[in-house]
Amino acid sequence: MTTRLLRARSRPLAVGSALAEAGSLGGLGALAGVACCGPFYVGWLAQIVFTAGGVAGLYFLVQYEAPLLLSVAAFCALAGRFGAGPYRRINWMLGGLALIFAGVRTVWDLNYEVVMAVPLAYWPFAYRQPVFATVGLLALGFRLVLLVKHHPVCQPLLLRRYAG
Amino acid sequence: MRRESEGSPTRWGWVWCTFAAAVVFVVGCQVGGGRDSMAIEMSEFKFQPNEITASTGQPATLSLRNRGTVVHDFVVRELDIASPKIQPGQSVNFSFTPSRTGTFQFVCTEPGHEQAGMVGTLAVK
Repeated sequence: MTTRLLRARSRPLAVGSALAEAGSLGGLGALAGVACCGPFYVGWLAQIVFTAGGVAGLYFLVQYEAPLLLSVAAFCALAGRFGAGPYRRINWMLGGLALIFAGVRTVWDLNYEVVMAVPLAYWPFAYRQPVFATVGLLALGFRLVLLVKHHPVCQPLLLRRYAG
Repeated sequence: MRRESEGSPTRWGWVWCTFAAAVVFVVGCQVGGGRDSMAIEMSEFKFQPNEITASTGQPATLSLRNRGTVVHDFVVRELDIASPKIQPGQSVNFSFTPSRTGTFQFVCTEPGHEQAGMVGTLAVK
């Protein structure tokens, strides 16, 4: 009974967390698709983003990158707040990354020479699209692995109990 | 007699002036006249200027500067000319020699950038 109640209460939280994660990963993916470059070639993502958003979408992503990254960080914070265990940690890390890049982009818009003078800030900034793509795909992969791992179908004990 | 063997100062002056002018002419041809130089600034999503000229068979040097926030490049498909990808804030000096005359379009080949208007015209005379 208690387990059923807990499950019923935690379901909206899980759905909320999943939606927030989808929002954050979608945002990161879109921002990664603005340009393709660097050691990890993400041209295919750029093609998808351009096909989906068109020229207006591209302008929007480039123009409002910092606010969009802040939104991604907010989504990550929500997902981190409602998530549990490993989900929480992944989302906090993603949120932190988005927040850092939002800050660097804002500084770049104010005075790009400041960012260029700090190689530790400049190079991640220059290659941020591949960074977003890689980190986003890793988070998505990890999420899928955990989802499959925790699914009742993949748990023999639970299966046995249901069967019995 | 002595003046004949040494030559007059005026005559030597003319010889030196002619020699110096010849040197200036030859060096000038090699450094300035034989090479076209242009500077282009790239940003989202445009080239500035977007109309440039070059001469056939003559090396042209482009100074490409990316003042945008994402990576860009410079490509003339019809002449098989392509610059390396230029990261935000970076500058690249890039040389090419146009092989034929005509008016050609140069573009940024990042997905969507060309469609967003990042194009220009290269006139080769």
